[in-house]
Amino acid sequence: MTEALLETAGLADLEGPAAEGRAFTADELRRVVAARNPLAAASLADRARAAASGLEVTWPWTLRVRAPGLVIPPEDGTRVSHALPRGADGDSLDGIAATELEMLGALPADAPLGLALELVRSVAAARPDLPLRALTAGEVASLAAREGRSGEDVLRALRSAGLAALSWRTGCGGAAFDAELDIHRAAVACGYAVAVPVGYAKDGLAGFAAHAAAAAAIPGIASLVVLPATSETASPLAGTSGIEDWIACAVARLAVGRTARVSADWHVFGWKLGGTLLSAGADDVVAAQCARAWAPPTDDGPRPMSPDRVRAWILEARRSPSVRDGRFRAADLR
Amino acid sequence: MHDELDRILRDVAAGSRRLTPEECARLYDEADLVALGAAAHAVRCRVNDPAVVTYNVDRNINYSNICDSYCGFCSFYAPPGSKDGYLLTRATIRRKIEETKALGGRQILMQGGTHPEWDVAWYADLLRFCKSLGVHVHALSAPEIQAIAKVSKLPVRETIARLRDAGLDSIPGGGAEVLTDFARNAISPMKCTADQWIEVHREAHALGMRTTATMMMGHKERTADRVEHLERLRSLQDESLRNAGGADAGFTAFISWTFQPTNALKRMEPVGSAEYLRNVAVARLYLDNIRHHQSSWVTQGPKVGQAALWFGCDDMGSTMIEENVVSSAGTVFKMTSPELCSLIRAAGFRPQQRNFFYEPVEALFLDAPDRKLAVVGDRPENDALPREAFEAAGVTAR
Repeated sequence: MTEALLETAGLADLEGPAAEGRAFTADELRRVVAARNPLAAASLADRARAAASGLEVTWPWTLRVRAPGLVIPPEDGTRVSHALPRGADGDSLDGIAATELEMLGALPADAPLGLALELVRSVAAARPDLPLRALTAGEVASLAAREGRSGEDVLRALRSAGLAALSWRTGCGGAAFDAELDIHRAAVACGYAVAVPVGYAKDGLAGFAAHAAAAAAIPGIASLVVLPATSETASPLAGTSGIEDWIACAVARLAVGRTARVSADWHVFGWKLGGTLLSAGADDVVAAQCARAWAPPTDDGPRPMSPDRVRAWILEARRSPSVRDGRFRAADLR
Repeated sequence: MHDELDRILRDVAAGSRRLTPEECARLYDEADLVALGAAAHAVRCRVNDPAVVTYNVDRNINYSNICDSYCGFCSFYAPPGSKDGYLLTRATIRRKIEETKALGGRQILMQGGTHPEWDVAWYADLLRFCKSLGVHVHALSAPEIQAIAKVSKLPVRETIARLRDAGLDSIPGGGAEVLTDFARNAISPMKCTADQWIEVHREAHALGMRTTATMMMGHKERTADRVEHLERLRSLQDESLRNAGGADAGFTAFISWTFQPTNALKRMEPVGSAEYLRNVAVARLYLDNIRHHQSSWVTQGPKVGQAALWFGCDDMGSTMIEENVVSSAGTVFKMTSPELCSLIRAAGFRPQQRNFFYEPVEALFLDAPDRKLAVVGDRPENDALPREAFEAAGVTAR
């Protein structure tokens, strides 16, 4: 059925390379974008996904932590997060089942490296058994510029303090993309698990294709993170369309071929659209948050996903769920 | 195995044969979602203008929430005698209809609950009033009509005929849920049976009226229940088209949505949108005799609503100037006409406003893009009161 679809979309010649899991060139990715057909794009991406990871969809169970002094943008804000323990009276993070730790929030614009190191040390110490994901490539680039040090230097210092992976936030992977890519390249060299966010805005998929190809060319990355400029709750007059999100996800998969995962952050896409992206090339889901008591899921914006629901929705997509940690290693949920 | 499914999809997409129930079950359980979408989209493009997606401007007016069906999934109803029960006054209904017309709407969708005492004369008065305001009245789901027939001690066909004569233009497909005894016993055992739902639509079709078909999926139904549901709809539509002698007849459209477990039956896990898209696509392939299929942005959100337009849907539904039932279960998606049109364009199609019969009508964009007219869950207090009338009925006037 999909052969006829690809024929109609003028993409039939790309079926073979997709099925082999060969990474597409920027020109090929632009052709996929230009076809403006989400089913054709997804059909190619699904072949590449099958070559890359079979039926397996990985997902971390994330313990989200609010650290003092950091500004938490609305898209990161969620009631299902925990304050960093402070002293003996603090709320302990011990005993909460999780496979990765995420520090929420943005560094103040004038924050020195010392503050970043202290925050990373404090959060990592709260759960030394969990890989810590924190700070964006853009923040690392800013720290390096302010301190007059190289990105690699800053990354090594943060790694020593306990940082395992860089994070992402809506808006990442757009402006100053080349500078961010340099940081990700350095992060691979420093031993980080590197998920590269590639952003796009409404009507911006041509640029996205070029960025995705550039990001995918970094050897050793673990994942491309598809990141629309606005979240699910934004007005449909301003935000990306569901069709653009499908095509972007497919393009990300075709950019990496079989060399890395494609992560869909359901906090950003919303869990309804996010679930469908598993049919458009995504094979990694960032969605499940740890909580002791679930908040009622009636608010707009990011909502909590229980591990049971994440598993169920992965199965619903006819895929096989597999828990990973923050370094993209297989993990167990205790 | 998958070669065989692919062959089935190609045949059905080309229109060379129908799906069997057994094949339908296999598509639900085994088919690749993108391949399903491709086949469903091919069918949609064959039977409808491939460049156009239609939409409607209407308002859901829930004249009352009093209901004695006690469905486990419903967050909207109030039992008879409850202090939470309400009944809209004529003044409120008039205001809502006038607002709808001012916004370019030409239709109202009016539904309430199953009331143990209100008879056909009561409803005929209500319909006559609505019709006098110059709109298409798409009203009263099958369970309501069965309840009216029971209270009035009339056959279903005569009940519908009297309601039609009073102003009922068409009948919505609400209350179908999933048309099997297993599924209905699990979630709505006191509502009309699957046979009774079919009976209402069969009788309406026989009277020359048009209706819509629905499915609320993602609760306790099994694959076999979904297949049986689709088979019952397709069979009835075959029968109605046959009886109409080749004229357009029966169901105008099929609309499915997912069960919203936020309030009622809240311990159930909701199904995701991948399952919704799967259902949309399979329904388009199976229901080859129902021309129009609607996307449910109300329950799925705008983005999945757009995706559904590539999985067999040719209609974006309605702006729903007001909606109270699904929103009672926590769904909060809202849309104005310009937003809906923008959404359709961004999905790759040309928007076209339509009427109930899917005939194109001139779009009237009287609502500014930045003005949120879709007040979901709006239940304004009404000050034009014949309060004593409501007190006599034991309900609250709004």
